[in-house]
Amino acid sequence: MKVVAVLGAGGGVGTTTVAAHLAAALVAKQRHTLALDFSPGNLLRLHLGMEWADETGLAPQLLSGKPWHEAAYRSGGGVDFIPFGRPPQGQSAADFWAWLRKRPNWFARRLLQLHAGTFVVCDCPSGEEAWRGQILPSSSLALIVLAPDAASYARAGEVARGAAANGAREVAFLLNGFDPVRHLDRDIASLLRHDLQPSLAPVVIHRDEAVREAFAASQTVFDYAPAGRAAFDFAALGSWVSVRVNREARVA
Amino acid sequence: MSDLFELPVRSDIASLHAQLSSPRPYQEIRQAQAAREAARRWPLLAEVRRAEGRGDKEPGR
Repeated sequence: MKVVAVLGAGGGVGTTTVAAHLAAALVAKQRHTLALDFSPGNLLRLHLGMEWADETGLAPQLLSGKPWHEAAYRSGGGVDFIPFGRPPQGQSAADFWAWLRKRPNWFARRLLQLHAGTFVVCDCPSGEEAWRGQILPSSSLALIVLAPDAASYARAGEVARGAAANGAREVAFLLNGFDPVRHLDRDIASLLRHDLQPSLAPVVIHRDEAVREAFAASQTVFDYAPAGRAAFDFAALGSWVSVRVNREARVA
Repeated sequence: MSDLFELPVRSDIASLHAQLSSPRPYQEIRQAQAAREAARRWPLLAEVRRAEGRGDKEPGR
C-alpha cells in the first residue's frame, strides 16, 4: 500500500487542492487510487464533483456504526474518494476524533482491505492530532504543502519535525501557488531550494487562475483546463510521487 | 633551462591546486548565493533561517 499524507504548513496553502489533484494525476497514470478526506472542512469532494448539499462521508458513516466503504464515490474523472462528510445530528468532528483515538489501528486495518499497490492520498487537516498517529506511521510519504510566503517558510521545519515524530518515514515539501513574476515568490523559492534540499519536490505548482476556476466549476484542472500550466504541474507531481513512493517501497 | 622550474610553489597556488582537484559544485554555490541574497532582502526570512540553522550549509567546503 502506498499512502501519501498531504498536509499543509498552515491554513490556506492549498492542501486539499493538492490532494485532489494528486489523486486525479495518479488515476490519469492508471494507478489504483483512493482519496480520503480527513479534514472536517469537507472540501475535497467539491474538487471531485460531489454536490454541496450531500453530507455523506467517513465521519457520519463511522459514527453511525456503518461500514466505511459505503461512503466511497467515484468522480467523473475516475477518482475514487471518501469525503469527510458531516457528523450526524448532535455530534461534531471532535466526536469523530474521539472515535478514532479509541481505535488506534483503524486506518492500518482498512488499508488491508484495499487492492495491493493502491495509492491512498489523504487530505490531512492541520491542528487536529487524532489522525496523525494513524496515517503517518502507515505513510510512504508525508507531502508538506508550502505557500510562497514567510509563514510557510517559518513553519516548514516545525511541521516536518511533527510529522517525523508521529512516525512519518519520508517527508517532502511542495511549493504551491508559485508566481515567478512576484519578487517574494522568487526569493522564497531560492531559499527553499537551498535550505530544504534534498527534501524539496523537484516539481513546483505554479499559480494558475484555472485552479480557482476549476474549483468553482466543481472540476479538477485536468477537466477544466487540461492544457493549462497547473494541469501540467499536477501531472508532473503525480509522476514524481509515483516514482518516489515506488522507490521507497523497493528500498524498504 | 630556465630557473622558473626551480621556484618554490607559492602557498596560494598550492591551495588553488587543491581546490581544483576537488571542485565545488557550481549549481549548489549559485543556489547558496541566491538564498543568502534572498534572506538579506527579507528580515523575517533571515531571522527564521538563522533560528532554524538553515543558512549554515556551505556547499563543497
